[in-house]
Amino acid sequence: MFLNQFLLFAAVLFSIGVYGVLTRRNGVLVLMSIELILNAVNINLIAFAAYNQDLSGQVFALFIIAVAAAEVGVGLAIVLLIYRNRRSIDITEQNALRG
Amino acid sequence: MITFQTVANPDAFEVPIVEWGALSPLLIMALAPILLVTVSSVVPSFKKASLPTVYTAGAALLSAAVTATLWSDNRLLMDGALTIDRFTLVGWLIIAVGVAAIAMLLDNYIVKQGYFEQIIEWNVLLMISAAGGMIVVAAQDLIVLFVGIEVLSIATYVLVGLHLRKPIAQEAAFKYFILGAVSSGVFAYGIALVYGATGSTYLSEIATSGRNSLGLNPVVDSSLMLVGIALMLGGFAFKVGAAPFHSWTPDVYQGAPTPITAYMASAVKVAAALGFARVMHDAFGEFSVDWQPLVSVLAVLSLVAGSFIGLAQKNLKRILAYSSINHVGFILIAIYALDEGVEALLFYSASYAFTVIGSFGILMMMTQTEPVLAESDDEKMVMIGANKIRNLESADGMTLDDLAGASKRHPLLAGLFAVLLFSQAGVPFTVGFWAKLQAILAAVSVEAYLLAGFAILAAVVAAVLYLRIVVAMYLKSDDSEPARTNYSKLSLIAVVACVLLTVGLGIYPEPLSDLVTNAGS
Amino acid sequence: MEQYLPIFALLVLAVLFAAISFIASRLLSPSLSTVEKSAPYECGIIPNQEPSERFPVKFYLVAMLFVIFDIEIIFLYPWAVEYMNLGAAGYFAILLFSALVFESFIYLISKGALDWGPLQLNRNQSAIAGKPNAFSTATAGVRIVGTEGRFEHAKEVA
Repeated sequence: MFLNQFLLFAAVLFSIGVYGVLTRRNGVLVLMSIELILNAVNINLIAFAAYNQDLSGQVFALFIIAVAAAEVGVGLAIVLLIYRNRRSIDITEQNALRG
Repeated sequence: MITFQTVANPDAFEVPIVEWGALSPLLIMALAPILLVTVSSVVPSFKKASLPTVYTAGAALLSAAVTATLWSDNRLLMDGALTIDRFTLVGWLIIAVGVAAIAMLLDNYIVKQGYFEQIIEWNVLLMISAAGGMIVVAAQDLIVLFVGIEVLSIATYVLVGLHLRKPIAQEAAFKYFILGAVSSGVFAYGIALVYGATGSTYLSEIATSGRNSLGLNPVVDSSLMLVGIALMLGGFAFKVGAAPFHSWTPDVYQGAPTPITAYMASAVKVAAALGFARVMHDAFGEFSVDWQPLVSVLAVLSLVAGSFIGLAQKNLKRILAYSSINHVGFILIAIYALDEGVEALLFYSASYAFTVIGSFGILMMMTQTEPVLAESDDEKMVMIGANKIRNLESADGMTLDDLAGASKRHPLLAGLFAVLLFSQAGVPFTVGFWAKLQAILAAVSVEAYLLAGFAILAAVVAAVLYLRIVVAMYLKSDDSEPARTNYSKLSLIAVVACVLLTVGLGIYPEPLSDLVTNAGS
Repeated sequence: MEQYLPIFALLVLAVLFAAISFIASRLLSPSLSTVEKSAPYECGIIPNQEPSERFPVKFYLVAMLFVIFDIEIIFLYPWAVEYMNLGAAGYFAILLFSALVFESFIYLISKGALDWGPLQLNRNQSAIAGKPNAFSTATAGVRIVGTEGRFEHAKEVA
């Protein structure tokens, strides 16, 4: 296995995540796309950690998993609030603020 | 067959020394909310009026006081993961004092909104977020920096959306969350690439790994490094709200509860800016030829977007949001100037933080009304269920026209607001003047004359922005009567303290400039 | 700024590529669009609103509880593998970490995250009564149902 295979995979995953954030209308699917971005980072970190024979990349990956869980917890709570108030999680309907 | 073998080897792991004393400002800010949430969970009667507010402000001021006792310290902590020096300490001081002021504003907001059942959550999240900010300022390791940024941001996402009865606050929280999470992802991706290029997450080791002394393939490694720096720069630019990554700022500032807007514009922005400067200087100083052009472009765009788009706005909170983008331009100029700009950066951050807290605080106090059922169709009404209810906090929809006659309705507040606006405009005898002067001088000292020129131009245009608000308050008079004051003493104390600092340091800036000297070394 | 020339070149290329493929697809693709063809279903009722999405939220707090302890394992596991080497310092560090995690558990219990069934119903009822929320009128604690997207109608009824 070569390093560049992992890097390419991570880059593709990252791009899919960004594309999902930009195009999805469903709030929950946007959250899933954000997870993809963070997991792409994890793959990069693990690949580099293995390549450099260094542990700090793996430690960082653990922290990113924890942070991603916290982020999604908060994100779901916000989506839930919006659903309670508007009966919809379509993010294109979130357009009261503009100027 | 898999076998697990664990060999006890006490020599393999060296326990890092924990410097409790030097860490205590951070520990106070991090453990105070945990104590508060535990006590209030076990003893529900702790939710007495203003008790959590006094607790929060007290803990923050204690943290600031302990920070002041550490003044001459300059060393690495926690096995090199954090550093404590003048730069860190000034940042901690700004954040801690800012949290105390915002807790006082929040008390007023929560009570007047009839939102008392959640007072613990507001205060706890405020302190946790501030602890994250203090980690960002002190971080000397990219892992710690990332965790700090996330603690700072995630707590702020919740704070923005915590007003459950205000749909636009939830919309603001959602926008902030989505964009913030993506920018965190981009930032983390940048860290991963920098880690891959240098094999370390410590800022000092990244700096010494050098431009071409990496691995087998200098071209590949260097390009990894450059892409990593660019991605991290994008993440930071989002967090500080620099153009062209600023599009969330006006929306979120408008929708968020006003004390939280003040918090985002002051402590969050200052923490992110100082972390930005620290990473760029300490880790990527070697690559300054590569990132300085990007920072200068960000600075120019922020100056221009902040002042010119701000002129087209009618809503007051949006105007102040664009003005904060304009201020970010000056902060970025100070970051651009590297070592020459460190003092200007700290001076600007400190003066900007309390000016902006005061401004948003006054905006909140001017528009604080009791929630009432609406009778007529009005822009300031929101639909809640089947009822139209007057927007609980009308500062969100307040426009320049609504300020007409404010000098008669709220003579004291209008006067204080005018002083703070003059300071933001950079009028002499206010602290804003010295801050802007230092940023421009820093640009001149590194021979970035074009940047300095843009800064002066933007300062002039932005002055018009602030003058329009003052004109609206004082010259567009109507026959208003003085309004019944409907704000708490605590918030008035916070705002008056901000104004006194603005004027006092404007006439006699030596204390603050003494504070920030030798911060670069 | 010279070092940014390749990036500008790449930017121009990317924009050109996008523009050319956009224009090419316009020019080359057959455009035989009719009303029937662009409708979601060629026969049947035309949907006038988004299909309702499944969004069960009953046990959200329980799910959050799960996430907290799920994440705790992430940090406990590496410690468990290396606990012999980490010694007393590692033990006390992980003890502190666990204390902080369980602190959030105390908060959740005080918020009633674990009272489901009748208990939670009681709690919610008492919370709703007396203050306006998204689905009750402002004056009475009566919950209005079936008003999604029909605020005006509900107002008349109320």
